[in-house]
Amino acid sequence: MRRTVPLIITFVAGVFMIATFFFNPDTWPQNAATRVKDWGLILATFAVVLGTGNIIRVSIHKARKGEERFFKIVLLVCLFVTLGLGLFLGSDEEIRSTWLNGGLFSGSFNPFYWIYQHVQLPLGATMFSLLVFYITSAAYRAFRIRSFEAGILLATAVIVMLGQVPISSAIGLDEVMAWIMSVPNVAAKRAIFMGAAMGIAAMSLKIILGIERSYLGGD
Amino acid sequence: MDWLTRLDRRWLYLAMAVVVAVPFLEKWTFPIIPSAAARKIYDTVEALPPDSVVLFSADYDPGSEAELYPMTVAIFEHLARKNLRLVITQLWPNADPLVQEALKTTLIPAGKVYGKDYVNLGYRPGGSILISKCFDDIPQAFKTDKDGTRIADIEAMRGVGKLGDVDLFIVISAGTPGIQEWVEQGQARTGRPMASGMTAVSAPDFFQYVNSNNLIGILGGLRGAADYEQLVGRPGRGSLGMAPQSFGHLLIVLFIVLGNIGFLLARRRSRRAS
Repeated sequence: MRRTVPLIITFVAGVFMIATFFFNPDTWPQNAATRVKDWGLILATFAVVLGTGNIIRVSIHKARKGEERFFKIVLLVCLFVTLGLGLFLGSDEEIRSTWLNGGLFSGSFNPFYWIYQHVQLPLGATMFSLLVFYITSAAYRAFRIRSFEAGILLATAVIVMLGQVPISSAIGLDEVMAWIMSVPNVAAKRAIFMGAAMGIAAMSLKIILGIERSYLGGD
Repeated sequence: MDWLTRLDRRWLYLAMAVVVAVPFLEKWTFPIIPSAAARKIYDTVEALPPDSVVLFSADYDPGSEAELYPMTVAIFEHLARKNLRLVITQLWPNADPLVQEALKTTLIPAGKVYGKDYVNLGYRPGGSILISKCFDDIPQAFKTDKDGTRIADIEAMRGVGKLGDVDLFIVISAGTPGIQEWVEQGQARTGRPMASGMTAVSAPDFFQYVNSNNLIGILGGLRGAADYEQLVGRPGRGSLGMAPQSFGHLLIVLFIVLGNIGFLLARRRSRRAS
């Protein structure tokens, strides 16, 4: 029963959602499909709560066991402080919470916004910027012409890289890069996408028909 | 030439830091000729009659702010000049302060009124489900704007009941959910034009949508931002970033060449020895 009922629900929901594409707007199947999408949105919202709950549980468990205790405590403190400030003060530059409007904090400096601008933003940019050093090192040490194919790859990479800067227009590389992106790149990408799309369609069909059951857990 | 194969990587790091920092601090600029892809987006926006509805989805976060924020500013500037109605959505939870900053330097100084000329619907979870829901009914999907005002009470949302009522989609995205979801659930189902901007590293994934006419054009990375800034006549961080990026890319090309010279010499030596 624990497996049969979810399988039936999956089958009915899957077949129904596919079938709704064959009905006109404002017919009952379309309206029902809209309601099902509402459920999807609610589930997606709960996934955020579930994810937060999971990271708290895992971090507390690890901190208790002494695994990376300091980092786990920092993580939990940052999480609760940011979450608390965001929940009570909102995410605007100035506090405009309806709870506090006209009260002590109204129109004043919002620490949540400050944390975003002065902690999260520079940290995010720093993490992304560090990539340039890894790319530099990799370009020097790993990008070798070991074969004819590797030579083609290298030449393509150089053209595309130069195509990202203004000098490409002056030396006529813009059009070469556009051709590489629009022809060989698209040919390869489209093949990969089509393969992936067919894989998704096949997997979806297997789930709807109850052939693929790993999402139910267990064996 | 043995040093080529034994060069300490810290010298590479130092060289990269110098060639990026010097043009950045000295504010060197290069002449920029906008790409055809950027020009197509610009021309599409130019051709829209006043009061047309543009849905702008900011689907990124601080990690890609350096590339995508300048794009956002340049596009907002253009939309403000054209007197278009702007509806902002976000599929990523950390985009909103960046959107607010961009509004503060573009639409607000241009005298645009929140709720009348533009509206920020804020972040909602759900990704492609949310877009699919918007295809049917935007007020049902979002219920309120970011500040809690009912969508029915917002003047900027008049006549915008579903995605089919939008005249142009512009999606600036750093990943998933983002451009692919908007193409699949929004553009392809409505047939409305869509433009997009993304980080340079993910740009190759989206050229296929340009070929299939799902996208009218794409702005790839900082170069895309610089192109659009030139087109709207407001050089900003994108244009300023072109000199450091140029020198950085040229240095990487130089390192590739040097690395291969070292590799080929070492290979010849080992062959002779054997």
